[in-house]
Amino acid sequence: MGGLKRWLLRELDGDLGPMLLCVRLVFLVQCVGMLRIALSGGSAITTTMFMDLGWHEPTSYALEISGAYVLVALACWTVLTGSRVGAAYGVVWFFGVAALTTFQGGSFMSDWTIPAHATRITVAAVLLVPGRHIERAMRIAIATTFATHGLEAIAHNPRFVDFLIRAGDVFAGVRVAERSTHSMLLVIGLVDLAAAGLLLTRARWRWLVAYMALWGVATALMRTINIGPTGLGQTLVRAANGGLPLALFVHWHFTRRDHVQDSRSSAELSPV
Amino acid sequence: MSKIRAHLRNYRRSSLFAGFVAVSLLVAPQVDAFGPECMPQYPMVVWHADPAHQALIAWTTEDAGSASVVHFDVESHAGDPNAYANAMNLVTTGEYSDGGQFYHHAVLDGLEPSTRYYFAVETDGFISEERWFVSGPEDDRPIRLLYGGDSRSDSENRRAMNDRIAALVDEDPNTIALVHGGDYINDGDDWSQWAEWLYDHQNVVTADGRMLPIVPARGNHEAGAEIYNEVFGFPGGAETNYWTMGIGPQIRFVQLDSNVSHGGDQRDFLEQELQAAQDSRWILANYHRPAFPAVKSPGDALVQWVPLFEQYNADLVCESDGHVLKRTVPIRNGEMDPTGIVYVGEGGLGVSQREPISQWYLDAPGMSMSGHHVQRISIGADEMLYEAILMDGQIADSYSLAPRREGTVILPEFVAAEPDGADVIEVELSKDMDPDRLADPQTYAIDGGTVLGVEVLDDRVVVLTTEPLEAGEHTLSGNELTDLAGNAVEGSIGFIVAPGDPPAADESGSETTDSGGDDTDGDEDDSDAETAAPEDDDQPPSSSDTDTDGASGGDADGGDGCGCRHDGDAGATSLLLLGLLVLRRRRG
Repeated sequence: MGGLKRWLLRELDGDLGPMLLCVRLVFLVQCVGMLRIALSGGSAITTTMFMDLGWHEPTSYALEISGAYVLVALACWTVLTGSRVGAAYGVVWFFGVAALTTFQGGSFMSDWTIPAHATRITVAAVLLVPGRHIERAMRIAIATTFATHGLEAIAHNPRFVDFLIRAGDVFAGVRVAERSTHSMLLVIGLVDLAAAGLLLTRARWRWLVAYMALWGVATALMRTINIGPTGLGQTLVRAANGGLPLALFVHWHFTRRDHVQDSRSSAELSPV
Repeated sequence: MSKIRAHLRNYRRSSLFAGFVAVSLLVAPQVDAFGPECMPQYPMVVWHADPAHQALIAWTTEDAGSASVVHFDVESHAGDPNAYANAMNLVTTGEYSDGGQFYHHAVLDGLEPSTRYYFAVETDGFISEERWFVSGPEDDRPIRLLYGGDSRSDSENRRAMNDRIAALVDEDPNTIALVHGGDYINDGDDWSQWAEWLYDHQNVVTADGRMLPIVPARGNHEAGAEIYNEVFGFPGGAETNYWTMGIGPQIRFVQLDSNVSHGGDQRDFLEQELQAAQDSRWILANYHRPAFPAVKSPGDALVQWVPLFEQYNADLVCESDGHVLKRTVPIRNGEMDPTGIVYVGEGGLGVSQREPISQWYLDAPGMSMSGHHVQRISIGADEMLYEAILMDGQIADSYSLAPRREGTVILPEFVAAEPDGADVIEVELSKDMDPDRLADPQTYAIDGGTVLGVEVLDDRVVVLTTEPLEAGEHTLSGNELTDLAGNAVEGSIGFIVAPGDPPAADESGSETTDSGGDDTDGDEDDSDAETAAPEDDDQPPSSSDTDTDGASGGDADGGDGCGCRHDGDAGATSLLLLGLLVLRRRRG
């Protein structure tokens, strides 16, 4: 226990400490999700090795699974030590998945996969960039992912339509008509776009990132709520959609409190 | 001397150049004639909702052209546009969304069921080779469908599978269509890939020009691609691509689109169709992304469509996308259940094949394996036989299902019995009959006695020869006289032999003298026969009309130009008898 406490105190030290710890944990969860996807049929990585490079399919599949195990192991190492090796591997991996998904096509707005995956890529990337750029990088990534999803919502992504119908069924026992979901998706899309815009242009609005964190978690959870445990990998791999806004919230919350405390201390000490 | 040589060299060069120019000028128009801009390419037959009466003919040209037409007939005319009896000028023409070439769609409407149709397409005077297809059945005769998906990304294997499909059609003419589960090509927005697919699809054409109609569904690689609609003639409509194909009264085959919302309007549509299909014996469904995958994660069909399949007891569900061959165990409520639904397919029409992953629903008695394949579904009255056939023709898997519903059984019945003299009766039935039973004298009884001979005029019309009958009322009944689905003829039919009717053999020499009485009697006989025929609300009112006019038999032997249907064995005798009947009627 003593070791864990010392580790926690060390990681939480400094302005960026709580946020970076949060980012590392989100990165780990995301990597576990990736492993689960790799184990249950693979991603665009296996498809590309097999379909486009002509490699033996079981070999391609085994390679992706092996790579995903390495990813999780390095993510664990990153959480514990802050090692940049795992983060670099993560950036390559998640950018590669996004790029290959775009290349493979076959899904709704697949050309937009890289911006849609901006948070997944950035959750690893921010562990590599200098501290002063981290917040800006996170803001841009969150805004990009939210804006892309907003556009998908406005374009009536059929999966989003089904999520709303399923949510109505599961949580309210109401069957929402498809036409109604189109109106709802228009509102959701506009809200996503507005949130993305505000995040980029406004100063530290904690309520904004709190909303984005909740929405990111809720939409990721919908993958499991929709189809059951088989959707768990898809939920976990989207951890950064809610996790990065959460990390920003933690950062702004702690730094604001420190700032207030510092101000009070200064006021008490200063001569009248 | 050297100057002379130089002149000669220049002369040769000039001559060569002049010759080259001349040849080029001569050849250029010829080359253009080999590839005219309106020469129809890639003709294709597409089935939508009502294949017994409609078929969409689609083709492509380099240029839009100003006049396109489909020439069609029940007889072959080897592509001579003036010889075909029918021409369909209502052709929708448009440019493929990716640009470059033009599509043409014509819906042939009012087709006779189970009939061979020859067609050739024409744009601006350029005419294609003749092809033929067989329209869908209207009755519940046994049929075979081929099913497969994922023909993308490997043209060589795709062509090999198309060759296999053509061989299967050659092997069994009862194979009526190819149902495709989607992912025809890798990028549905790329016309050049479609053109390659259409080119390869011509391998499905058999050596004698038979073109198997295709029944399309969208794959994820065609998601949102407008060219899909342009290639297949907007199956299901311009807005949505889910629809139901009815094959006779007993088979409903629902085509779904797994690229759009599963739980919204499409779910409502599916429930509506499955409810309506309870009157049919067999219910099948086809869509791309699997609910019970052999490779990847399940699609939303698992939560939105599977409960409906289970509630309404679908018989067989076809899925694609995984690039393996699979057949699940019967599944209900997420576990194996003998009353459950069987899911087959996963796509093997050319795409590289994967190795299936371990899933409980694929364990024996289910199966999965890697290998290019096409599935054959043989549907009869008592059984649906599913077979998976590999590229080399081997059967890798088979499974048999018994019907869950009786469906709408339309029993065959006598429509008319018209004596021609005292010893010949022309008999018409309401459905195409089993040809062996139809030709067997033992299957007929007149007043409980047997008949001497049977002359088959077509699948529904026979001429019975009997001992000379006495004048008065008689009754014709069937004795295990069955239709193509094995249903025995229902009821009997009465007819009247008029006093003084001589045997038909003697009649030919005394036609003129007997005419008056025969006409009157004949008319009475007709009305008697019609009223004696049992009423059947389910029987399409046009069925008997189409039979008597029928242009070509269900066995697709083609007509003879007189508009009558003939069996190949029906000889001059039956023609003579028919001629006599016609003469008698004309005199009236």
